[in-house]
Amino acid sequence: MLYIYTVLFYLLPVMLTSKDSPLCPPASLLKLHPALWRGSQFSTRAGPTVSTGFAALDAELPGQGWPTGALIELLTPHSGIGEIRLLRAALHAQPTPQPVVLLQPPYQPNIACWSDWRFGPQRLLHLTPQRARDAYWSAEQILKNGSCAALLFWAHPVQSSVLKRLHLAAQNSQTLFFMFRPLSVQNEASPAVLRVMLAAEQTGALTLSILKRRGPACGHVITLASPPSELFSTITHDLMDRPAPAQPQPRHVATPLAD
Amino acid sequence: MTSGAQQCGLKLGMRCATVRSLAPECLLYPRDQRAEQNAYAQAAQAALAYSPSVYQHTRDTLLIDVTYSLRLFGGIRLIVQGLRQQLKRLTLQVQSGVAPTATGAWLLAQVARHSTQHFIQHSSQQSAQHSAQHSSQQSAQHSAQRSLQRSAQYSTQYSPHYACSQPTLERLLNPLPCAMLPSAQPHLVWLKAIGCETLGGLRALPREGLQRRVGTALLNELGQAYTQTVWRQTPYVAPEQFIEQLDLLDRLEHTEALASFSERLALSLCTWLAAKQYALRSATLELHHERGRHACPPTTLELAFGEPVWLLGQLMPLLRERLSRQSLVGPVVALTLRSQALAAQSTRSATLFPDPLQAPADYRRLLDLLSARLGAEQILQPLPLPDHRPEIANNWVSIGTSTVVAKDTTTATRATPATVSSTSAPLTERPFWLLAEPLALTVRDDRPIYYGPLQLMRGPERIESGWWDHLRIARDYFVAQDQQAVRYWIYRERDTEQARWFLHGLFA
Repeated sequence: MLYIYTVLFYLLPVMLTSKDSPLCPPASLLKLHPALWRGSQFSTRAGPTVSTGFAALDAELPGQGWPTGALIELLTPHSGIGEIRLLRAALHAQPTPQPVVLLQPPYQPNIACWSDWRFGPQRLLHLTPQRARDAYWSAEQILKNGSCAALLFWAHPVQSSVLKRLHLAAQNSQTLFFMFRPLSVQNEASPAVLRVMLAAEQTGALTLSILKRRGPACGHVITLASPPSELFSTITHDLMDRPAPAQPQPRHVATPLAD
Repeated sequence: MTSGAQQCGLKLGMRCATVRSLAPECLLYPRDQRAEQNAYAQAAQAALAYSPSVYQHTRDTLLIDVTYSLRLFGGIRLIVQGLRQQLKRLTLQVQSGVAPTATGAWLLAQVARHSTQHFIQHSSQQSAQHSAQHSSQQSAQHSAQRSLQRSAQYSTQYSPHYACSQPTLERLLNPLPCAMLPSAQPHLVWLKAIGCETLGGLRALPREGLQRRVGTALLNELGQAYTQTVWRQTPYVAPEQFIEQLDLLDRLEHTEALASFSERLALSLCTWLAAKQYALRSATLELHHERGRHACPPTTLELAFGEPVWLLGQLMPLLRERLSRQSLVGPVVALTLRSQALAAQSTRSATLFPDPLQAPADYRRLLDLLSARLGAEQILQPLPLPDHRPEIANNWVSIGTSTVVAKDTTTATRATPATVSSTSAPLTERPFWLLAEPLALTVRDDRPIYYGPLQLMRGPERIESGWWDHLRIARDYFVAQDQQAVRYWIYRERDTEQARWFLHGLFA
C-alpha cells in the first residue's frame, strides 16, 4: 500500500497543474501504473479470480469472481443458510481436482452431500485442531504450501494480527481462502480484500451484501436465486405450513392361526 | 585461525602453556580425531554434489576433478563459490586453489593457507584434472581455541587463486618457494646455496644435471605441478548409511534448543543425500540422556515422510514440529541422526509455470507437516461406507493409518464410476453438515422446536436399516426450515411409542 501512496503523492502536483479538469485525472495517468484506479471503478489490478457461477455476483466483484490468493470473509448469521452451496461452482471451476480443506468447521461435513455435488471424496480434508494457535498455524501452512484448491476456515474470535498474517500467507499462493465469521464482526476492521455478508430468505434465495471490495461501495443487496438443486427446485408452489404428521399408532394384527 | 585468536598472538604449533599464558580465557579441548574425520567426510560429501571424482590427497586435502561439471554448474567460479558456501554452512574453514594440474592446485591452495595465516589442523584441497583444477583446504577446529573460533569465524576474507590456463599457472607457480614441494625438503640447503629458491628457478636448471644431483622424485613432482598427468587414486565414496552423532556441550532441557542443534545434523544428512542422490523416507533421531549412574535409555523419535525429502527446507519443518511435540524425560547430552528407509531422488524439471503434477507431492508434504504438529488423529479424511444409515455412511478416518488410506484410494477409484452414474440423478438431497450426535428437539403444538418452531418442507424420507447389528434405526426424515430460513434435516423416530424428534443435519 505504501507503494500506491507514493505514486499518488508524486502525481498530485501533476494533476493540479494539468490543463484538464483538476479533479478528474486524464486517462493517460491511469495508464501510468496498474495500481491506479478511480474511486468509481473497479480495481484494474485484480489478480487471478475464479468465477462464482452466479452472473449477478460476478458483475459486482472486481475481476469477475472470487479472488484467489487473498483473504475473503463471509459473514454468516448461522450455519446452514446455503454458505457452502454458494462456493460450489467456484470449487468446481478449479482446473485440477486439488483438495479442499475444512478447518474447524462447526459441524461434521457429510460425505454423501459432497459426493452428490460430483466431488471426489478424496478431495476433502477435515481438520479439527484442539487449540486456536494450532488452527492458525495449520491455516498458514496450508496457504504457504499452496497445493490445496481452497481453504475454508471457521474461527471466532480472531485477532486482527492473525488475519493480517493469514492474508499475507495467502498472497503467495493460488488458494481460495474463505474465512467464515459471525455477523457481529461486520463493523471491525479487516485486511480482507472482499467481505460479503450473507443472509437467507424464506424462499431459499441467498442475499449478499458486499461490505468491502476493491472498487466503489456496493449499496444494494444481491439476491441469488436458489441454485438449481435437485431437491428445492421441485418445490414450485409457495411454502405451505404443513402440520407434523400424525403419530404412528402401533397396530397389532392377530396372526391367523393355522387350522 | 580466528581473528580473536590472532589478536591474542596465538600461533599454530604453540604449546598449551603458552596459549594459556597469552589468552587465559581460552578453552582448551583435546584433539578429536573422530570429529576431524567427520568434518573430512562432510566436506567430501559436499564436494560429491559437484563431481563424482573426489580424491583424498593428503590427510587434510581434497582433490576434485570438475572437468566434466563445468558446463553443468556454469563455470569454475560458480562451483568454487557454491562449494565454499556449503562448507561454510557446515562450519568448516576452507582454502582453495584452482589449476589445470592436481599438484598445481594443491600448491596454490597452500599459498592461500600461508598468506592468510589460518589456523589449520585439517585442510582439504581440491583440484581437477583437465581444463580446470580446483583445490581447497579446509580447517576445522576441534582442539584449542574452539571458543575463540566460534566467536569470530570467517572474519578473514581472501580470494582463492585461480589458474585456469597454463600460462597463468606458470606465472603463479614460478615465484613459489621450493620448500613447498615435499620431495625438495632434503635438498633445501643445496638449492639455497646455488641460489635457486623458487620453483621457476628450479625449472630453469638443466634437467639432466639436476636429475644426477637430486634424483627423479623432485623432478617428477615438479612435472606433475606444471603438466597434466593422470591421477591414479581411488575416489572417495560416501557410506551407504548415514549415522552421525553430535555431542552437546551442555545438558539441554528445551526442545527448541535441540531443534537448532539437530539442524546441523540435518544439514550434513542433506549433504550426504545430495552426494548419494538419495531421498529420505524415514529416519530416526535419538536423544541420548544422562550417562552413568542416572542413565536412562535414549528417546527415539521416528521421522516418517509421506513424500521422500532431500532438501533441508523440506526436512527441518517436520523435525521441528516433531521435536516441539516431544516431552523430554530428562536433559539431553547427545543427538544421533540415522537414515532408515531411502528412495531414489525423483528428478523435477524446472518449469516457468507451476506444474500441476507437483501438487500431489506438495500435498503429501503438507499432510506430513500437519500430522507432525496436530497429530494424525486430528486430520480426518473421508472413507464413506456403503450404508443407508447416515451416521455410519459418513465415516471419517484419521490420516495416520496407512492401510486405511490405501483401502480408501482403492475403494475411491473403484467407486468413482458407480457414484457418478448413481449421482447423476440423486433421489434426495443430503445436508452438508451432519451433527455428530442427533439432538433431541422439544415439541410444542405438534411442531418440533429448535430456537423457534420449524416448518416441514419436504418429507418424509423413510430410512430403516441396520437390523443385523445393534444400531438399528427406523426414522422418517424431513427437511424443515426455521424463521431465519436455516434449513434443517430432522427426523422422527418410528419404532417407539413416544416418538421423538431429532435434529440431524443442516443444509449449507
